[in-house]
Amino acid sequence: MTHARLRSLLVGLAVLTVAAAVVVGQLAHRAVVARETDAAARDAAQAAATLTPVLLGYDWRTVDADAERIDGVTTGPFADQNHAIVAGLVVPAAVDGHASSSATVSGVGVVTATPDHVETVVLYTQTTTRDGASPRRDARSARVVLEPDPDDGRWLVAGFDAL
Amino acid sequence: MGSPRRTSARAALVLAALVLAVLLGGLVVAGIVLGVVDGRATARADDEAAAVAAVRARLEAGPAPAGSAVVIRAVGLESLDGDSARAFAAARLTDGTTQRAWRVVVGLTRQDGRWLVDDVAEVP
Repeated sequence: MTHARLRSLLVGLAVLTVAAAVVVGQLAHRAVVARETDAAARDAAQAAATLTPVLLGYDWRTVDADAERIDGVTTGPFADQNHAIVAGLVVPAAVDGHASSSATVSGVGVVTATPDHVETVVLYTQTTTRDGASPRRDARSARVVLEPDPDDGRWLVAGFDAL
Repeated sequence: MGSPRRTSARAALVLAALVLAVLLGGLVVAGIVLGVVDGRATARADDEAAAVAAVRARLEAGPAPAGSAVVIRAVGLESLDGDSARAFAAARLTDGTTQRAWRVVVGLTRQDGRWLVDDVAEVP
């Protein structure tokens, strides 16, 4: 092989190698995102089942501690909105009405998932009591959005909309 | 016969070509493996979308109580494993004057490449 042809072969191989590296890089990135999305969907669904009762649970006798616990499971702009609702409406109403609330989750399904944002549908039964009256049970469902905590990666509630 | 300098340059080119060929071969193998992984991920995403679409289609066609219209608010997959899947749906039933929540769990199986709903049960 002549020197010139060897040089041409080398340039051709270099071009092909760069092109292959770009394609492999993109495929590797997609594989990582797919794996992270699967893990996010699984972990966030478990978190939705665990955190929904926390988010909806309070007792007028322990409502301040319950409110702190609720704040601890929320994140993002929703955390501020929910804190305002809990502190401004839920806590006074619970104390005045000797009210309590608890929720039992019947099922969680994943609506959409990305590595850092998972939307779920949660079916739950909420039990509320007020002024010692008989408990009232309501079958409900909600769209619960979860995002990882920026500090420790724990999945937290970033949105809650009753359906 | 060329000069020693020219021979040395040729040897360097041959060596570089060999290194690039080996690297290219490795990248091709990696590309094939990652392509298979990517294909599976894409197929799974397509499966999930098809299963959710099957749930929506079935709930909109029935089996809501007679005289009721269904407004589906959300459908979420609980599991999808091979040829079976399970989903939860939150909907509202309306008869024109009143509305009520309707929550169902839906079982699906894949037959001939299509997701079919084989069980719909109201969640009390």
